Amino acid sequence: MKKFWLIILFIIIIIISCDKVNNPEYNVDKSACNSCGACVSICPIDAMEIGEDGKAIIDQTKCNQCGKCIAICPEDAIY
Amino acid sequence: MRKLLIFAVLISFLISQVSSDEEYDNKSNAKSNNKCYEIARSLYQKPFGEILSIPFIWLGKLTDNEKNKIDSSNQQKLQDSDQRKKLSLTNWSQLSLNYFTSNAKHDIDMVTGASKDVYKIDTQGKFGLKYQHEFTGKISEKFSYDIKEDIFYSEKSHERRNSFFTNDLQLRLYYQHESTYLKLQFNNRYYNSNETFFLNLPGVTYDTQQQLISGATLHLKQDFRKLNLNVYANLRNLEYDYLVPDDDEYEAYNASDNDFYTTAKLSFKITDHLNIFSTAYHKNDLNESNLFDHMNLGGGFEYNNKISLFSSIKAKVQYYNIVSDNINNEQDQNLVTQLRYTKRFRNGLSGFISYINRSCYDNETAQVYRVSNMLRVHTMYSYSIEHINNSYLLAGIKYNPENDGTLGFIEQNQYLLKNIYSTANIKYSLDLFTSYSLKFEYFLNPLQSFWIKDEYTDFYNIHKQNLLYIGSTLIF
Repeated sequence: MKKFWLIILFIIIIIISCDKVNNPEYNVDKSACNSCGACVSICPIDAMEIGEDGKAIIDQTKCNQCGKCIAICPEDAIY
Repeated sequence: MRKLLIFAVLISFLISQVSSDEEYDNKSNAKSNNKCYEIARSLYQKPFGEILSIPFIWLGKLTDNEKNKIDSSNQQKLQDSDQRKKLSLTNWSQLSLNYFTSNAKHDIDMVTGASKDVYKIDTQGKFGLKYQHEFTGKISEKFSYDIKEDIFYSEKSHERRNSFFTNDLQLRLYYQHESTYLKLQFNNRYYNSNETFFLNLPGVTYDTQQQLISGATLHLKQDFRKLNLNVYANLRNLEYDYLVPDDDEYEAYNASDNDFYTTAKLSFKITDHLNIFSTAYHKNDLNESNLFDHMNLGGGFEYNNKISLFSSIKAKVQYYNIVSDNINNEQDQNLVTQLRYTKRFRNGLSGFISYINRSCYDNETAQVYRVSNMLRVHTMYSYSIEHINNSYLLAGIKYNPENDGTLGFIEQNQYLLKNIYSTANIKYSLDLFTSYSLKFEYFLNPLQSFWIKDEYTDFYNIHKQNLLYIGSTLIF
């Protein structure tokens, strides 16, 4: 088990050392989303919606990465 | 010496009585007649071994009157439960009144495109109201439905909504038979257009105000032995007004935006723990052909293994290719990796570690970029479960450097007395805010409660605000 976590840690370090993408992108951690809809209510460009599983989804063609949904999410599910 | 011996016997009796949760559940009826046990358990459950430092208190047996009260209360709960099962009806309802104050004296950039007269946030207090109701029921063995209503109203500007009045209604019809699952959903979200913040809709030059969002959704899940098909289609219509400047005045025009979303996922079960899957996602912008169309095609695998009764591990690796004129070329090839390890201990301690990485590959420069990384660690310690609700201490961190989402939080839910609970929460975000909340909740029974809550948030360099709520939650 220790080896497994060491490999994971090694992969994470490699990934983090990569350059950041020029245009950031927001996504929803569905395991954390509680379906409250606060992000839908605050989104100033109508890019958030509740999907088929009751969890929030982001329309990437609309999202302008303003970050309001990150601040408003009570479960910190947006990353 | 005799006293010491008696004390030792009492302590050993006490520990043997509370040796495990399973035993507690099995013996709950017998123990409900004994006040002594209740005290003993609360002592035993305290962290840091306080049981040895707190004197044992004997309160004697419950009186007949107290026993009758408990029995009649349990009987009533059983009758209510049987009635609900028979009718298959459940109502969940929450009503709250809130009072909003802020130190902001000027327009703030929390709201995009806000005009001064309507959207000014000032130091005056504002009232708001929120009502949510969910109703679920069964039509037959195969068909069921639910109706959800969410009404929000605020006197003036509010930090959490882009409209001062919204009414969100959802109707869902479910069909489930053997390996087939079908869901049909209609939803309407109505805004009071005069008191709705202006939005910046992509592709629309002018400021717009939402009027109504309507949607129709079809969701199908079908199992064919090891093969699983999941299809989702959603037609979404947005009615909005847009304002065109005409000298000093604005001319309002009405328009609509229609999008059609479809998603399909086909997965194949290789072993009990391993699935492989392929996915397809398509967005068709029915107004602006091609410009906002979007398509993802991809696949990957999911691994889900319960290592033991107390721990499990989940992993998911997904690749997808984006075809869209609206997304940068460097994000065409994407890889998403998710890991989650959950661990539970017998002494009430549990927690999980979750990591999600999104990376992309640029064909032109042959370089890998990181889109987003999120590491989440949560731990929870439940130290008292004998009351209506659980008493616990919860702490966690979220590390998300790419999108300024790094934060830490701590929360405690504590039984105070006579079905009254307190919940305290502190959340500290490095870049966005610090918030404190305190809630007192009184449970009439496990399904009905009244509560009062205060929430203070400091948005760094923007403004500070306070929300005081008073509300009730009912399930019947």
